[in-house]
Amino acid sequence: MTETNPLAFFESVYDAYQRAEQSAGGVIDRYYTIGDYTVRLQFAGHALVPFITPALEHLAISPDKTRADLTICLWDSASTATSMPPRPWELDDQIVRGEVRAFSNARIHTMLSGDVGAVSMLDETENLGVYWIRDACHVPTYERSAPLRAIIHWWMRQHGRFLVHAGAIGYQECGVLLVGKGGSGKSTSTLASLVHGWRYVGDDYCLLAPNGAPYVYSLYNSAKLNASHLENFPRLLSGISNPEELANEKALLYLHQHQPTSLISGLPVQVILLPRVTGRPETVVAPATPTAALQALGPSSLFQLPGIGQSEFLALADLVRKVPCYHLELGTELERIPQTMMKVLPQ
Amino acid sequence: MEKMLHNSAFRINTPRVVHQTIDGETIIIDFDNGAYFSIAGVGAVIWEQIAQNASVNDIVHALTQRYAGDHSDIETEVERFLSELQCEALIAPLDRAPSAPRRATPAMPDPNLASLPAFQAPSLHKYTDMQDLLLLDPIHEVDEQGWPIRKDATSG
Repeated sequence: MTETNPLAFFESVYDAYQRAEQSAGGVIDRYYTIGDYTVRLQFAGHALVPFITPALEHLAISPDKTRADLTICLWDSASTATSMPPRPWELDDQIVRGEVRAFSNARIHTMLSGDVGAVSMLDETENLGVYWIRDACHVPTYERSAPLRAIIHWWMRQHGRFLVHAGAIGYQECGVLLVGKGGSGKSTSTLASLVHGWRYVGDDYCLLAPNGAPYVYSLYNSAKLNASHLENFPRLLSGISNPEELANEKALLYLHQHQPTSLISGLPVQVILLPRVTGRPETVVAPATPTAALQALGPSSLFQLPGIGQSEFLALADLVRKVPCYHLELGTELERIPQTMMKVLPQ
Repeated sequence: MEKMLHNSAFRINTPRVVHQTIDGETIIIDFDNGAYFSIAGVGAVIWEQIAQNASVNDIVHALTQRYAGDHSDIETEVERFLSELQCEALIAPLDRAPSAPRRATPAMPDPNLASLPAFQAPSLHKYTDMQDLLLLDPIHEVDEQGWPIRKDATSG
């Protein structure tokens, strides 16, 4: 019977990473500023680099001996010919939101992405994360668009920030959080607003610092769109990174590659919008209750992120109490969406 | 349905369940099955009482102080609502009895009863539209080290 020792398992995985690093012939380092902290990605070889780094590229900084607050080591078995240690838990062990409870405690967090056989781990004490996948070629679209969510989220929780399932855009110094489940129109609102001086913080996941004056940090420059909506954004067609997958997946775009000047690293949250696709031509805004905003933001964020719980739900409740909330009834005339959103910005 | 004892008390089924109340409406999230719920009005008042581990008697008493209605109707509706919450595993029986009843029941009629809002039966609204975010396909195939294999990675 396997001993349940999260730290011992983390150490065995980290040992395997170090062997993978030797096998790959060296390390590829990338540094990023995420939520005011320096995060170092340390790759064992090149195989994972093109799948993980594009979504973070807008936050890249030069690696001039910068001291990292968090280091994440990444490797795959296929390119490094290095095996992952055997799985130490039973498949029917309790796994909630991917988090393997038997191998998670106050110090160590463990998540299994069962669909592709990837593992994310964090040692909070050492500020050290590990990401493993069997084959870099199997990194799924959701991971390419929003890589390392679990590790970043776990670590940022210690620093007054956490991931939320929300889009965010801004005009001048005013940040707008777009909340709602998939298909509500967050991406449409975000991409339609990238004209007339609006800036892009995030499309699907952002980093929220809810305490004091709430602030939203950019995390990923990726945008995902249903293939059927692509015709609404002809300028973006040439930037689709996964044209061969459009029959089964949303189109994935990295805005850093195509509209780098539209990106911004973060903004104070001054308005919360709850988009909803109506099919009518005009776009309309109307006041929303804090409860409606919490219902749009809370479940979709909490269900997707491992380890999130009552304290984050309380923080989200405080946020929707503090910030004015509006329904955004999205029309088909996309150019009118940013004009309408402008009506609810603070003067 | 088994008759609920009046000194029975319940607790919110944490950490499986998280909840927040804003402006008299409560949002409840069940992490185990991906459902979430909303309750408003009388239901939210009952929820706040449960959060304080109030007994059935205490809850009924609190409601008679805030709403105009027949005591036995209120008692029946409280028991029905508590049963519904328990069926959804949002609450669980408290292992111990509440430390001390806060008020005797039935309550004396409130002198301002005429000005109280009418009691309305509490209702629980359940949403399951996000369950697919939580409920993953079972893992069928693993490699020799026990790690799941992506479905299309095994077919060539």
